[in-house]
This record gives sequence, C-alpha cells and structure tokens, in this order.
Amino acid sequence: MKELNAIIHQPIRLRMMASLIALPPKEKVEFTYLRNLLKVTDGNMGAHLIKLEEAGYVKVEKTFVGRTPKSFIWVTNKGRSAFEDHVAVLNEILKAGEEK
Amino acid sequence: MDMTRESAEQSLREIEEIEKKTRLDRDWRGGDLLLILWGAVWIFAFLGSHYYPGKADLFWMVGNSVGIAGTILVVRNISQNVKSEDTSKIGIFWFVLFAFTPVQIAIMSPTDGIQVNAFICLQIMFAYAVMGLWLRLNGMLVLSAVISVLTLVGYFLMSPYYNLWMACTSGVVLFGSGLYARYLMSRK
Repeated sequence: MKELNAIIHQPIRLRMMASLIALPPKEKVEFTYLRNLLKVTDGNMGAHLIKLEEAGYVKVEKTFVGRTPKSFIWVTNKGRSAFEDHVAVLNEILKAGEEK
Repeated sequence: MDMTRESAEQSLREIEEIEKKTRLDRDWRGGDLLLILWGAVWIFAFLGSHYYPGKADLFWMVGNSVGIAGTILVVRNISQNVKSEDTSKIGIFWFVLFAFTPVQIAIMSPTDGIQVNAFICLQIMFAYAVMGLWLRLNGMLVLSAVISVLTLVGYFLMSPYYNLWMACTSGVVLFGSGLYARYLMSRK
C-alpha cells in the first residue's frame, strides 16, 4: 500500500486540494475566492498555499486587475495525481478496516 | 504515517463535502444574482406592458437596460475572481444568439408584439438549455423546460392576458429560482 501524502494530508491543505480539483480543468481561482469558499484566514491560507506550491501541487499567478493585486491559483497535473494517490490510500485504509 | 479507519473516513467525508460545496458554487456562480435580476426585469416589463400596452416598448427598454447593466457588473465581478475558458465562451455564445435574433425576426415578419416577445423568451430558454447541457447543469435544463412551457401556454391559451401571465408565472419562476439558488449556496 502506498503511503499517505504528508503534504496533502494536513486538513486545510486537503480541503484546498479537494476544492481546486473539483473545478473544471484549466480554471484558475483568486486567492480571496478560495479563502471565502474554505472559510479560512488570509494567513492560514497563505501559509498552506506556499507549502503546496513548493511541492509543485499548485501554481500561483500574481497579476493586477486594474490597480488591485490578485493571485490566481490552480492545481498542477502533479498535484492532481498526488491527490488521487492520497485518496486511493484513504480508501484502502477504509477497506482494510472494514475487512477486519 | 499511520491512520485509523475512522480518521480515513473523516478525511474522505471532508473531501466529499468540500467537493460538493465547490461544485455548487461553480454551478451557480453569479447565476443566482442573474436569475433574480432578470426575473425582476421580466416581472416589471411584463406587468408594465399589461397595464400600459402603449408603453410596452419603453418598459422593455428600461428593463433590458437595467438587466444588461447588472449582467455586466455580475460577470465582471466573476471574472475578477475566476479565470475560466467557459466564461468567455458563454459570453460569445450569448452575443451570437442575440446577433441572430433580429435577423430571424425580420425574416419571420411577426404580426404583433406578443409574437416577438414569445419568440425572444423561447430564444432565451433555448440558450438556457444549451448552457445546461454544456455545463451539465440540470437546474438550467429544468428551468428552460418550465419557462418554455409557460411561454407556450401564455401564447396559445392565454394570449389576451399574455403579459400578465408571463409576469406572474415565468417572471416569478425566474426570480424564485434565483432566490432558491442563493439559499442553496448560503446553506453550504
């Protein structure tokens, strides 16, 4: 059985990944939009986003809309694959527990 | 990293919950506000057309102006928060549809305003159906079907009271759908 992904497993990062993957492919969402959806603080969100970006699971594009700075986030193929593996391990743990 | 069965179950539940919440938000993104806005426009313009038939064009001009301005604001707000290929495709689709509409009307040469109005309502419901299929939104398909039927009933069976019928049925259904979508999103 594969290992659980320690980076994705953290509850807020897990929810961030689950939310980003539920979006259509190639869709990018703004930082505050995702923050409001997940109901987390700016600081919390920022810290976990950095971890996911460092792991190569998400990409962040900083831009301006008018004069307002915006950060658009989307999941990478590596992130999608890592998340799917993590969910598969969770399901295996669940199944193993049911069989006992 | 070890994990109990209960923790795994909890994690999977959280994933499912946030996926549902995200999809709900994605499906109705701005749609709730647009349905409320255009529902209000239809109620206003249809009621105005019924009680002041000589000023029907004015009521529709005012209503459509407010509707279009509001739509631009909603779409602009969405595009500041989400970058999606779908958004621009949807915009182009609506533009093309409304570019074709006057041409189709000119060719058909309708005999009265109610014919034109019913045709336009059905065009809009056609667009809702296409978007429902394209974006896999069953709610849009249902809304399209319901309002199309109401429009046809109004045109063929209630024509002396077409405008009042449309205000009280189609307008209210549109407005109510927007409120319902807003309620669903606030619950999550």
